[in-house]
Amino acid sequence: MRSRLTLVAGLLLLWRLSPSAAGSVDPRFQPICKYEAVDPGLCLAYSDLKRELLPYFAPSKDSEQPLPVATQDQIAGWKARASALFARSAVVLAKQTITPTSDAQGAFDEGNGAIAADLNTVMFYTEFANEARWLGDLEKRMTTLEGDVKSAKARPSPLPDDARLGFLTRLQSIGKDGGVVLERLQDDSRKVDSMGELRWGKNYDSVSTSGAIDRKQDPLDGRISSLAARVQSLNAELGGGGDAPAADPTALKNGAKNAMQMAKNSFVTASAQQLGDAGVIAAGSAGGKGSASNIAPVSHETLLDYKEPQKIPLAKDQKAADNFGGVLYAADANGHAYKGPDGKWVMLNVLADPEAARQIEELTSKGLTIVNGDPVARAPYVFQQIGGTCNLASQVEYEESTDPAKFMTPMKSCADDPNCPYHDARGNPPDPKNCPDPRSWEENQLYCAAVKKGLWPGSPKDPHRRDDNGLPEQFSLDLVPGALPERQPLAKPEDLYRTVKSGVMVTVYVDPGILWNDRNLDGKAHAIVVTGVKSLIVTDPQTGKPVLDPQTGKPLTTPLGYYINDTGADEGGRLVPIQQFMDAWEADGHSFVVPS
Amino acid sequence: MRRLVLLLAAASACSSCRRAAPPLAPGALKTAVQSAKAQPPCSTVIPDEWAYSWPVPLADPEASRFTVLYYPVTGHPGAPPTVWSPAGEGVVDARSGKPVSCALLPGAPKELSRRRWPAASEAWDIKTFRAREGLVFEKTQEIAAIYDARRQLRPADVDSAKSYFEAFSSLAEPDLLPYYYRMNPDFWEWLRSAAGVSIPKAF
Repeated sequence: MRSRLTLVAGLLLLWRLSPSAAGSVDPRFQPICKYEAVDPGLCLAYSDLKRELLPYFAPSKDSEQPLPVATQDQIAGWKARASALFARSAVVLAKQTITPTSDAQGAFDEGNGAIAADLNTVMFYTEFANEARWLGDLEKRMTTLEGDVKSAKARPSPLPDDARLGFLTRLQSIGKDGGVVLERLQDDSRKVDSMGELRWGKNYDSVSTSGAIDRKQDPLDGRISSLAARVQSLNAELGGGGDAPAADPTALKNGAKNAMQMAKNSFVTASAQQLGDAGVIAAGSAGGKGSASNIAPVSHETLLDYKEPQKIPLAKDQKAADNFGGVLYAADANGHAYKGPDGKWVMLNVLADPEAARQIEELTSKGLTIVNGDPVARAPYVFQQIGGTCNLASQVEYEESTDPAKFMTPMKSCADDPNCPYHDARGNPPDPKNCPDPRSWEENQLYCAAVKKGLWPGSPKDPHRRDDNGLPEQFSLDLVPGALPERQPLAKPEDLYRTVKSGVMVTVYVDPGILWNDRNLDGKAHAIVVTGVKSLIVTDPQTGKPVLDPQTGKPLTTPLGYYINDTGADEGGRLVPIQQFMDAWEADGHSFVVPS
Repeated sequence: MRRLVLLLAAASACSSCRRAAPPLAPGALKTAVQSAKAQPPCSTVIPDEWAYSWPVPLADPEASRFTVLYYPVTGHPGAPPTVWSPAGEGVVDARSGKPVSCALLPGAPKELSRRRWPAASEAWDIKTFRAREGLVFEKTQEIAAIYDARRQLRPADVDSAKSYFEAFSSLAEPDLLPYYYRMNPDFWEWLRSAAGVSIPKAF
């Protein structure tokens, strides 16, 4: 009877060791199988775990598919199973019945080491894959930024004599939002640096215990190097200059971290120096003057501390005004500088509630806000309307946004369209030395069209017709070919918010007296273009995490202010705090128009 | 029987009274005036750039109709404005919140002055100014109910008329006063007879 039982047990053992069984034993763990009698299934458990790990770091020879990426939950599960196996091996070793002990120790050491190495390899690959994803995102982000900069550069400059002004100055000229573009570049630069620092010292050969990895060059190095070069190229395009070393592969191989740091310092110093000189950021936040080689590393926090202009040009301070490029800065808590049609600077307190502006700045500095739309790229569309033509001017902005090429060629002469002679609001022909720019000319064309269609009231005999009249609201965008305007009279605030958040440009009608905090303009209606919205990301006060909309799964947001282009003041990209905006909007029928 | 006598007496004492219209919702007049240019028919007639005047009550059993002038105000933020003579007019219904009619006035607008508001208002800060603007709408809505009821005025009504006129005249555009009078002479003469205050006659 006993011999029969021994035979059955032996057969069972043979079955379990057979490759044809449901699970087969990896040769590496065969020595552990000698102790099956003490812990049945132990060697198979080692083999099963290795079999699960293998696809995540050793590609099949006949497969062109990329390696799968493990999830954090999978890794946690494998870690737990490995720990359990190691505990079981310790129990087996503790059994006094096992002989010889040294063989057992060796078998389990080798088995445990193999599992640990494979697990580490999987974790490395997972980390690598995630870093590659991050790098991919960064590359996309950089491509978007390059596109934005290229697009901004291609648009007509709002500044006079564009050729003599650096692009960086031009970005500054659109105010706070020009700073946002620079921030994005700085932010990307930092991320590239971080990636370089993260990858530094990580080489495949240090973890290639399984023999599946035979390359020693980190393939991400090349991509990081390429990104670093793109950062510097953009920096140069913006007029940043500097003496940053070229982020070539050799430099990265020999010391990626140092090369990145030096490049970063140089970029930031050069850009920040110019921003500081122009009064855009506070003195000192640039990290001091000097070359890349003798400045201390710049902390990210310092760089993120983007300051509002500390100096607002006064009417008498023409030198300071020139630093602003002749174009307005966004309203800040200190007030607002406005260059009137007579060319003189006017100081205004456009904010009904300066505290609201401060709160927005604070929330922005904490990273709790998000901007939808594109107030930066759209700011240069604005221009000074001539006469009561805000409605027409907003239409020109739409046209420009859809066909920028049309507005690229500067006017070379004051040649009039015989069917639409150009006159200013007072009926005077243009000064030959001061031709209207393409947008003013286009506005004039729309004015003629509105008159011809009978949409513009007033008499042809009235020399001030263009100035003391305007377009009734119903005809907004009617003059733009193919615009097919969608009107929303008496709209709800949430409708406007949803529309602007979707990214489109929207014409709204506001009470300019409230918009400009100027009582003399009360009761009028003024068409402006909303180019974006800044929102607060709603967070859970307990966890600090964004609250998600149960319907969309996206973070809940609430508007803090709308970005506007105002042709009444030749002002682009001004952020109007939400309460002031809503007061101005609701005081004029709270309607808006969107070109479909 | 005694109750019936009392009721009859009360009815005969107020034989000239109109049926009192239900009061307008608070802020109804302000909303109607502010949104008129965005709604037809005004949205096809009145240019956006024209400013609205203060509303003047019209004789209306419902006490909900007001007339408004539209006039150009040109200029730029921070600069003294140029006020022009009215170029359009409209009637709004404060109960429905909609404009009833809008029309252009004949002739080109004429430049009237470089100041829009009464000099005394310049001393007010912007918050006070906005509050006083709201008060004009509120008092206009209130006086319209009394004007349209055509009842024998009580002392409280006289007080209301005086306080309306005070609010109106503190913010009425000085150069537009003749135009205000022409909007509804009957109202201004009623006000003069009821409370002893009004704007000068102008025809």
